[in-house]
Amino acid sequence: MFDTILNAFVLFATFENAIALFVGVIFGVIMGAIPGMTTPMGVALALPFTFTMQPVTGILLLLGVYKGGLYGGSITAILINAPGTPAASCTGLDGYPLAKKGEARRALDMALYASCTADFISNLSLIFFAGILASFALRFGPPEFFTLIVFSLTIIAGVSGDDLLKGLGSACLGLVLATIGLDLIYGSNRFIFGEYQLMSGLNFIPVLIGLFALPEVFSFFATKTKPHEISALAGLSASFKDYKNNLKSIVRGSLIGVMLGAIPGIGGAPAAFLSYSEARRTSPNGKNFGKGELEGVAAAEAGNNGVAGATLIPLLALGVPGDIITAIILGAFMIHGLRPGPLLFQDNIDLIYALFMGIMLSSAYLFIVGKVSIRAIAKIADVPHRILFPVVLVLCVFGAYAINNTIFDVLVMFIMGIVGYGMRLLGIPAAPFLIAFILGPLLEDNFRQALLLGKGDLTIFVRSYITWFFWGLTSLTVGAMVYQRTSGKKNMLAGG
Amino acid sequence: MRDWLNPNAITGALYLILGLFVVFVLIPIGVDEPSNVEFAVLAPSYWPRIICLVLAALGLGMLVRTWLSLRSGVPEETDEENKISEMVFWRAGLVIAGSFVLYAVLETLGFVLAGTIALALLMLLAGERRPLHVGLISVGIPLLLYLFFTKAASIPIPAGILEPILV
Repeated sequence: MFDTILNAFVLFATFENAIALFVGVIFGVIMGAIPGMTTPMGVALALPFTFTMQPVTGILLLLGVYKGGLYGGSITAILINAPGTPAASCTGLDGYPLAKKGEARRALDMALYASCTADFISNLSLIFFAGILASFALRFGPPEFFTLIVFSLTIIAGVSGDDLLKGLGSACLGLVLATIGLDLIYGSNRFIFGEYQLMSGLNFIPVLIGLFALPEVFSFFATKTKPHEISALAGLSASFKDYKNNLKSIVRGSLIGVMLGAIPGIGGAPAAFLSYSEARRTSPNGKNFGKGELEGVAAAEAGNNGVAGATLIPLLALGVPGDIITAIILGAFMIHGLRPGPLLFQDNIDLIYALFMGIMLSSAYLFIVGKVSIRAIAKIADVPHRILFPVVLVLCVFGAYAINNTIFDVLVMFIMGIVGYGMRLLGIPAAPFLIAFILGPLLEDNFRQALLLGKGDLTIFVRSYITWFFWGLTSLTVGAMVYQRTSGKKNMLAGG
Repeated sequence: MRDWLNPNAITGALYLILGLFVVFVLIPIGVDEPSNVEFAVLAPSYWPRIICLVLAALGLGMLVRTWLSLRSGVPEETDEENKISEMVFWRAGLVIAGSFVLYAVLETLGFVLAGTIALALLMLLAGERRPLHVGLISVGIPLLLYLFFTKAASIPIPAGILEPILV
């Protein structure tokens, strides 16, 4: 054992590895922070550079991009409400209101601290529990996924504001929009109307940018009295006390991220929303969520980054990539003649340990890069609004186009911008729309796949203890929310 | 009648109309139903139909709630963030219309030239009057973005009429 660790250390402790990981994290943060540049795109762009590298160096470079990208996605979500990833849109729910209050730096700091902590916990889970979590993840079939997503959707009631009907309607709009495209089971058209670009459905990023960033731009131009421009850097950094106060939510979010990250196909968005929902439910400041609550930023980022190490569990232990990024990393393994799975642990255990060492170092790098970049990046919030908002619009146009190199995505973004602006004028919350739009396809696909599996028998949805567990959690959460709302109304009536 | 023109009633009416429109118009013409569907719940139209019926029901619920509150004389609480009376809609309308003009000329003029013109006009509309700032930012930002995407990220961005100079 000691020999193996020593060999791994020799394999890992090279200048090339340290630099590759560092460069990867910087590149990832930049990629994540630019609307239109996604983390998978960043990992794919870095892949050709790994061909001539040693296997450990090349894979560490990609892992650095991956981890940096997860954090980077939250930067634009906080500063200009243009999330770089679906998961980062959850961070923007509280991050952007904080930036508007002049606390951008505090929000960015908290996002970084939560990201690093969650990343560290996720890495530890990968190192110590890869085997156990991989076998747990394998028990998830479509019915289990479906119940998990149903539970995740209970957050909609939490982010609906004072008017639950409006919030639920907003979620329905998101669910309907998510059905556009080819039907996955029968391959038939749904709401395509001859437009072939709609066949794969609406891309997440133009919808997110349109729904969140553009209404800010339109509102800026529609406001008669310009808002007082607060210097974002005038606000303080997040203190250790802030971190300590939110540590519970960060650890819980990290564990949620680890559990969901270990399940192939889930990704960071459901983890971020579930973590956010749990934090909102248990926090004494629950009512401030969505209005600029630091704990909301911490919980969302912890959930999002908690998946980072855990997504490598099915990849390394079983050879199953859980998402696009791990699929690219699997490709990198194969390019170097390695096949992840049980045999890799048997034949190349020193390489695995070397990767684990690099992964642990990546958390520290993320912290350093994040701290340095925050000083530079938070200055964006200092730019006068009369310059910032026009620049944001042009940046959104470039970003929406760059996703798929199609002008159609720019049109989708503008249309969603009008929808988002209309929703804002009518007081319809955008968060339920967004959550439903992201989780909707997962919900529907797993619902239908489960029914196919059970030959139409609905009892498939209570087939295992996992489904019972999630049904139980959903019932408890809905019950608690109903009680909270009814008792709140009674108190209001009693108080006159 | 004016009492009905509040955000909650308008939202309710929109939900109701949209839900019914999708169920009775868009699903029949926009969703192809295969002939070999084993169970009704697996049909491609099942999921959107259920969602839109729920949407319509929510809209109806909101309208009933408004009607009840109007009948009882207690005004409904509205939670709209922005005060509509304090809005300058012509400027937002101009920006929205301008966005679609920008979309229409993006490929012809190219992202750099179209972005430069759009940025300069938007900054002037927003109140920026310093010519040097307007000039430098409106030219510099689209050019930098173009160079980043095309050279660093290898993503081809249409250069339009500037193609001979930029590519």
